[in-house]
Amino acid sequence: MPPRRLARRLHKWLAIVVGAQLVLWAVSGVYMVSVDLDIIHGDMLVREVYPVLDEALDDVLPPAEVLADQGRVTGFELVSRLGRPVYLVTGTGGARRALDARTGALLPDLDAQAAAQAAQSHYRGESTVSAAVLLTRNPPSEIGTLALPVWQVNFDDVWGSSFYIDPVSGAFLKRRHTLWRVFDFLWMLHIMDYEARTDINNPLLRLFASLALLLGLSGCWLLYYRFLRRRPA
Amino acid sequence: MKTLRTLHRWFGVLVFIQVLLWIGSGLVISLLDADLARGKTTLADLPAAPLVSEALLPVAAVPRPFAGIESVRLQHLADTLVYRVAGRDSSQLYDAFTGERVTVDQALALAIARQSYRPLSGDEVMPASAAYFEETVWRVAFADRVETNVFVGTEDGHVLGHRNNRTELVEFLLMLHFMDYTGGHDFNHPLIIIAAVLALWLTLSGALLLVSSLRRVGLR
Repeated sequence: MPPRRLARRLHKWLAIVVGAQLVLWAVSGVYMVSVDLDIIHGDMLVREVYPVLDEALDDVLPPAEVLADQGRVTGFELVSRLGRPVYLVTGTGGARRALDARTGALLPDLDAQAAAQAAQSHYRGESTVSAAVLLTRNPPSEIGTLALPVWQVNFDDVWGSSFYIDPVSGAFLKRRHTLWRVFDFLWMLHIMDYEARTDINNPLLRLFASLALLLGLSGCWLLYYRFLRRRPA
Repeated sequence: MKTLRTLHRWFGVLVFIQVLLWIGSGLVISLLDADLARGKTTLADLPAAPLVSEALLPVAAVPRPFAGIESVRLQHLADTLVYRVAGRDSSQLYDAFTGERVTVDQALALAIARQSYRPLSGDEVMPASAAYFEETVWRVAFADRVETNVFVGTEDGHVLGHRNNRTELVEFLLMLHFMDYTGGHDFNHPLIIIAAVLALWLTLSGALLLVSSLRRVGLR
């Protein structure tokens, strides 16, 4: 077969195999470069709040006294939970609990109303909470490796916002919205990891990227005939 | 007309070069071990050592270096126990028994880095040395085969991350992939948006050509 026809045929065959994925790479790429990453991260949804402890520091129980009743502990931190100073205690197994830092009393996890209040305090927009759902199993993939249980607080806004709140500490853990979810879906298509959407070393991606490189190089070969070989004639 | 055609050709070639760079850099990034490049392979889990409860200073007696304290955490630091007092922009360490300020000096930075470091498979304990990287960061260099650097905050001894020569290689490839030649990793700039749209056109027109060719001559 003359080399020119070989180049053409190679290009065509490779295009049949990887063409669809090449279009997906381009479509997902256009989306990812066009929508600003700060928007994808949901910065416009969030109000910066700094819950300060200063006034409470003189009234809290001494850690030595609190820890004496807690058994073996690997984590101990004083933070503000919805304006109340609490000690967050981590047991040796990783289980966490919140104690009222003034009395030492064990505090129950945040209820739906408190979770909604915590989420609202971090929310910049005008919209209100449409639902607060305590996720205890089968977490949606959008929360990644967050430990369960976790409160999902949804807002009634155009962004389709969900804020994730830690039921023990009241901490604001993650925010997600429609444009993020689209990005994440396209990212999945881009890296061809259809399960965890995180593994960029997967064999399918390596295979297709290799074939795509061959497709591109065979395209170069064709360009060579098109642009350079014709001129002398 | 001739100028236009020349421009068109060269512009096409340029987009084509970028498409090849995208595929090539993407392929190499995919072939390189991502965990190693992100410094995760050498990052050790900190042992969850139990905290002591006796003789701890009460919180009220811990120094307050600034207004706006958001958290006070009791934690291990190398082989000492400290309170980490954190605010919006800053955090400082105090000895949990005496309340004395703990500063992260060279020796402490080295100890913290060593604790966060897990040797690569086949490696023994690696020699390491600490040096100032910039005003608030220590850089602890390990003599392993990927030249791992551990970055430790001078203020609160926080391990900022592990980097190695694979990290730098991936960053170079990302520079090509993101077309950000300023040293950052911004992929939302006009140049790449234009290039991406043109690349989309290239793939879509290629797909149309393929379909029409298959209709005309089949698989030949």
